[in-house]
Amino acid sequence: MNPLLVFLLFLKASSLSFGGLGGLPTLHQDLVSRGVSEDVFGQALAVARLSPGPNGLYMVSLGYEVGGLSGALAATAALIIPPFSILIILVWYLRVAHLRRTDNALLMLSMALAGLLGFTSWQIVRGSSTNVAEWAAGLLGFIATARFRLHPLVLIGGAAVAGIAIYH
Amino acid sequence: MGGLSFGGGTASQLLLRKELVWRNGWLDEREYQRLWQLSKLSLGINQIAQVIIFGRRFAGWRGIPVALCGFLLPSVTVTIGMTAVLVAVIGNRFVEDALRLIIPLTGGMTMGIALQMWGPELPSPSVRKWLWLLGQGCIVLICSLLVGVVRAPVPLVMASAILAGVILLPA
Repeated sequence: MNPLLVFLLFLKASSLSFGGLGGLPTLHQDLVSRGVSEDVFGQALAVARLSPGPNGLYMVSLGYEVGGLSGALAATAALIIPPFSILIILVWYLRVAHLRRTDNALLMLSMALAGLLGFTSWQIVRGSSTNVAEWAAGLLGFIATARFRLHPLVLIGGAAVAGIAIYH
Repeated sequence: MGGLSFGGGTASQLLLRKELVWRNGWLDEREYQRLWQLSKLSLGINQIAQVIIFGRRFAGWRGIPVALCGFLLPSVTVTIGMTAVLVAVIGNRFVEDALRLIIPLTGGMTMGIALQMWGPELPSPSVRKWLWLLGQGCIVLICSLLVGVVRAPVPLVMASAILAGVILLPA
């Protein structure tokens, strides 16, 4: 994929999101329609969970997958620019921080993001699961993260070993 | 910190707090907490916004690029390196077998993060609070369906949620 297109698509997703994984639904919608598979998203998320830094760096991995090194660099540039909005938001927020409507808007936004991210990740699980073991892996990932907060390295390492043991 | 914060946002947050508050005393707990909350309002990755705030605060405008380089250069380099290795070994049977479970697992883990973002708490035996929780669940579901079934654009759903929060919820 053309690095400029990678930059623009990733900048759009990053600019319209809050939080590390907030841009995932937008990127998923834009890239799947251009032929990128669910597996590529799964691989990028796995790499991001194993590497240091924020979870949002899955975009760098995804940029590499769709556009090589120049795609990764374009994705990095696209994810650095939107957080600069904090310098403007800091000034604006002091004027509206005390308003109840500000809290209400942020609450609704967090629920919407949870729904969007939940649906996108459901699509990744559904698109990559063809048997009971793979569905069970998806369920385990959900429960282990939501309930027990296990370290990703333990989960991903365990899944790798189990995958080799089952299929090889 | 950028090179050592394995484990996502929580690990990075712990390292930032340890270095800035506990070890170097550049910020007190209250100030750190306030700046952390403020960074959550930024567009994109909150932690990058947090690093921008810290860079500006500790070293002025020049501090911003320096802080960003320090925080992102190691993690972005490792991420690119790991992806390059993964792309190079895809096709190997062991790797393919491992990925068959890793990909649905990471999808499930992301669903777990989505649930944490919503953070529903089981309410006390008050009917009103149960109804509020049910209402929240409906909003989460409606947003999923709008994108998944109706194919509504994601930015439109997010903008509608913000507008609904301002208009519908009691001020």
